[in-house]
Amino acid sequence: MKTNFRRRSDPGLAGRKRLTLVASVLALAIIVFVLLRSYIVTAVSPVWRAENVFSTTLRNTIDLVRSKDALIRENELLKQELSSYETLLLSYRTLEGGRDEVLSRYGRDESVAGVAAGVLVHPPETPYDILVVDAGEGEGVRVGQRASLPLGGALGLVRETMSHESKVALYSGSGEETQAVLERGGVQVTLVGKGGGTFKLDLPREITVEPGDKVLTLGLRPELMGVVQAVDVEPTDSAKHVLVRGVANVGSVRFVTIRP
Amino acid sequence: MRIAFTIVTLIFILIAPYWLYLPLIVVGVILFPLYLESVGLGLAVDVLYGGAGHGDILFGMPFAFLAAVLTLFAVPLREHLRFQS
Repeated sequence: MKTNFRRRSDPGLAGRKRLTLVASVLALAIIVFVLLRSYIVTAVSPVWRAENVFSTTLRNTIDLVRSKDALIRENELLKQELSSYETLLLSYRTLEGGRDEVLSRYGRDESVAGVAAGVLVHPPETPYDILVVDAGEGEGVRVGQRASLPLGGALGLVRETMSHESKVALYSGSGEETQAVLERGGVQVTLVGKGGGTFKLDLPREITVEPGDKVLTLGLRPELMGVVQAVDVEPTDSAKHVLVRGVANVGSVRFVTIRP
Repeated sequence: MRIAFTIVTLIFILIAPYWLYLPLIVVGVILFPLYLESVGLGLAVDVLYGGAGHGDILFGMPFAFLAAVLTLFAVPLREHLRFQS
């Protein structure tokens, strides 16, 4: 019997065409990724700089319309905090000076200035645990150098450099493992990043650790990596699970120092 | 509409938090048929913010790959839903 309806198009053929199209677009994307990535970041960095200026101006403008009393109260609180931090900093600088003097007597006088860099992008603008900073190869930054807060506190390592920008991978990035030392007892530990500026580490039950203990980097001039926030131990567990908070709120870091 | 949506998403990738622009890319895949621009947007996220130690996850382009997979599976899903309605 003759029929008048048209044959349905082959759905498998349409699917294969679609797959080919998507694969082609993806291949093109890979080529772009490999060839042009550093140029794309350099081209976009003026937008990030402008956005930082805009958000700072907006923040200052919002502060202008806050009530005078609220600003006076906040000012007093900040002055008290600042005063306590100044005393703490003075004592740390004294200790640091003593340490440097001892090291210099043993021929380990390594004072390196470092490169100051402004942070262009930080989490949560990026879904990765990285910072994009405005210093690159032109300013003497190299892959593998350490990034810290200006007054101390280890943040991460430079993983990628461009002409005037660099990407710093945070130590607290998810899954990142970093060797460190627990200040109490000098126990060497492995910090595992959890993202969001926090770490976890596992310790044998017999090792003493308390909230507030400091975790430092390895080396002759250790830097603060984090502070123990919580210790969790189950009665049947052979290990303690420790949560460590990083040195800074990664979402509000504005300046870093990069050193070899 | 499609071009405007893509441009707005690209601007968000430059200035907004990731929890704003990543769902926007997914919304684009759902709203527009064969939204291949999502692969470009995912690539933009990987190029601008990736690479710093993430080279072992899908060749350092996880968001571009995920966008491609989403786009691929969105088309038959849309057709199926259209058929059902």
